Amino acid sequence: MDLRQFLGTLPAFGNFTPAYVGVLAGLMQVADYPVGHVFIEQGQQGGAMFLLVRGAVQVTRKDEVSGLPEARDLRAGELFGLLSLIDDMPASATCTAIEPVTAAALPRAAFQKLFESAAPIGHHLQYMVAVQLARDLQERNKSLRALLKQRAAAGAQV
Amino acid sequence: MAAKRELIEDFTRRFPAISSELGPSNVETLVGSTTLLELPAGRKIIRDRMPVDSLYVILDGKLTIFVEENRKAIRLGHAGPGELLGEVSVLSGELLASSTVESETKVRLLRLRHEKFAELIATNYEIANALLKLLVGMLADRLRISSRSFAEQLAPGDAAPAAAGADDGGSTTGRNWLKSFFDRVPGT
Repeated sequence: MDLRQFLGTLPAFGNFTPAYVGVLAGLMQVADYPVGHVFIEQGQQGGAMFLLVRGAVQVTRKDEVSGLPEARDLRAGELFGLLSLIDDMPASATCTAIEPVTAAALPRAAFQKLFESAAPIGHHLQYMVAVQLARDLQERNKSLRALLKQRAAAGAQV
Repeated sequence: MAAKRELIEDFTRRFPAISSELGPSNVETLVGSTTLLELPAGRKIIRDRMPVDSLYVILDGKLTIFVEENRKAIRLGHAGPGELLGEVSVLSGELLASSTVESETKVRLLRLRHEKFAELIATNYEIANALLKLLVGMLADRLRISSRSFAEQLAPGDAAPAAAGADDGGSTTGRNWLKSFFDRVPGT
């Protein structure tokens, strides 16, 4: 499959020059994964960011206070594991193949190389990382409020 | 003008890495887009789940960050010189603050209104990139601390307030300024 062409069809990368998209494609590793493959596990550091090329991936997140799972499915063209691009950053969700999957991986080291030869795409991904971090912090604060509610209901002092 | 010069010097001292990356001209542009805010201790700068219209650059002083629910609070941590406040909802797209920020000591802040910020980064690629780098590093640190201490908070019998992770409020324009900027990145 032509990863460069696939990237060019995506809203996230379609506006960049073919040369920049080519650099990104060259740094990514395409592979096939079986059903049940766990790409990233919640609470663990991931090794790479992934672009789902074919198949479906389920993202599950266990609520930190209630323990209840939340899930959503990703389809071709979606990115996951963005926080793997940052050092010492545990993943906020588990990503598992629920169909046979083809995915392109961008390892953390390759992400750094992106800034040397395709800086605009590097900055764009960094922006997406910042958004993900902000959302995760917001979720964390919501969980903290839920914890306060839970403790208030239990009559506990926080 | 002398007052502005002093603010530029303060900013450079508090943000040495970003100042070096930006250079004097961009630092002047950035600082020139802000207004100085001097507040006493005990003042709420950002209120949990209330609209916020600015980013705050901390020059001096110490601030406490906490989340509130039913008149109870969990302290998330502190913020001080060299840090920004008000970034989470701008990036996440939510319009309300997700935590409260209160001055613990007398503070000096540079206030950058979201509209001004959007205008600035739309016209200055270097400033946008430098701020993005700063924001990612800051958010990552906060989330790391939060991940470690939240587990402690949940541990049975552990009532210590913990979990760091600072935050803010939202854009008055409802526009994602960074996205709008990157939509115009040269070479795209």
